[in-house]
Amino acid sequence: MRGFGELEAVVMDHVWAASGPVSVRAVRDELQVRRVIAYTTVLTVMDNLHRKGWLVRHRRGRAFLYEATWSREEYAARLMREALQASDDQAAIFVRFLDDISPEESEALRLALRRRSRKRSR
Amino acid sequence: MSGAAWLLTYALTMALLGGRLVRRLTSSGSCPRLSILAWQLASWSVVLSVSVAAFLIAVPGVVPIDNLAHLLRVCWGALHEMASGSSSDPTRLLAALVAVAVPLRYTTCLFAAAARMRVQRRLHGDILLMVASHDDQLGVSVLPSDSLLAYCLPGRRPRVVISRGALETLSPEQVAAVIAHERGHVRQGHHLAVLAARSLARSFPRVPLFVSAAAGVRQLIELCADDAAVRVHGRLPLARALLALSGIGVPSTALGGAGEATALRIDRLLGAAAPRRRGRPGWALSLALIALGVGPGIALAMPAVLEGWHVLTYCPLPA
Repeated sequence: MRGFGELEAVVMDHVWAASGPVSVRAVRDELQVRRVIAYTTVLTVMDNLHRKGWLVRHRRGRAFLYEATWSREEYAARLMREALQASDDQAAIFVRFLDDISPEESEALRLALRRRSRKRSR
Repeated sequence: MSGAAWLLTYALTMALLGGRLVRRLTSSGSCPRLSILAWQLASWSVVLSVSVAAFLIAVPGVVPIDNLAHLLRVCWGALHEMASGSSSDPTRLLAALVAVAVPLRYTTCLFAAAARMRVQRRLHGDILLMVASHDDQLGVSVLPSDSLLAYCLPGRRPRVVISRGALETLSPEQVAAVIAHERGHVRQGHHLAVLAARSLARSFPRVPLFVSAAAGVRQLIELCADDAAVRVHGRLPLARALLALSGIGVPSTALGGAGEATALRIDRLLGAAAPRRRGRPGWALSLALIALGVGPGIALAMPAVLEGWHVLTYCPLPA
């Protein structure tokens, strides 16, 4: 469900932006600023996110308080780790622009490039 | 020698020496798409030759084939013979096993790998949706990281991903060149070529040709994508982007020939290597492609050819 996915992303944005654990009502009140959205919808989305492992929750009184399992940076780092993994199969999953080369090789290439562009401009 | 023996000889020669041959033909990087085809033809001609040879040994009465019904009848007869144990020839049994096992092994490996990769890609894509922001103007996902990274996620819902660090380091035209390169990968379906080659190498490990083919295809797809980007954005922006993104600050995972491969790409872009950059293949590569395409056919026909030669040269003409 394309629409649902977007909503999940928006809710995660708000959870990450919050300074501590949030309730469903608080998230829904923030979302109300931009769009008409029912409490039950937000509840379902956050429950889904909890089931998928994006959010952890603990009870406070009758309601739950939610917070993100990992920060956005930690997820980004995980994505990078996956994409940077040096296995032969990875090219079938991600195709990277460039494989890693050492700083020394990079410097040598830089010099070679400079020499070549000088030659071409003559 | 029988047709099957010729086929097996061909297959063995190609499997052991074919890698060196194709690598020599494709090392200039002048026609990456045809070079990938060369690797694929070489690999497939070996697989086909082995399977057909095994089939011919297992079912000796099959040639000449009159029609499909005849083929099926002969196969059924052979199966029946082997199952009932009246055929005591172990070679035929082994050959039948090989004829079935080879295609089966590759097919299962391929589909298993494809499924596994689809799952990994989807999981990665799901996280990307949440974590990365979408730049509508460029049409890419931006990874909130300072590192220098660009890659694409091919498949049913392809995505190009660039890190924020890369976007800030590169000039706008360099960014456009990188995006065009990644889109080239997606459009030409390179992940499938890599999947096929890797699955072949994994299905039949330690066959030198298949191992070389997997590595060769991996490098050649980069050249294909470079050409796609060059067509739109020119050579220098891409060459500079290659340098700018070349691993400063990214932990080196010690990929061995990665520096050489990058150097080859930059050399190609700057016109130092590959005099034939307009995409016309050399005569050697063209000849090799034709030879690889018909190689197994020739091997199969060798007995008939030799027989005909024998008749021509040794039978006395009628008085």
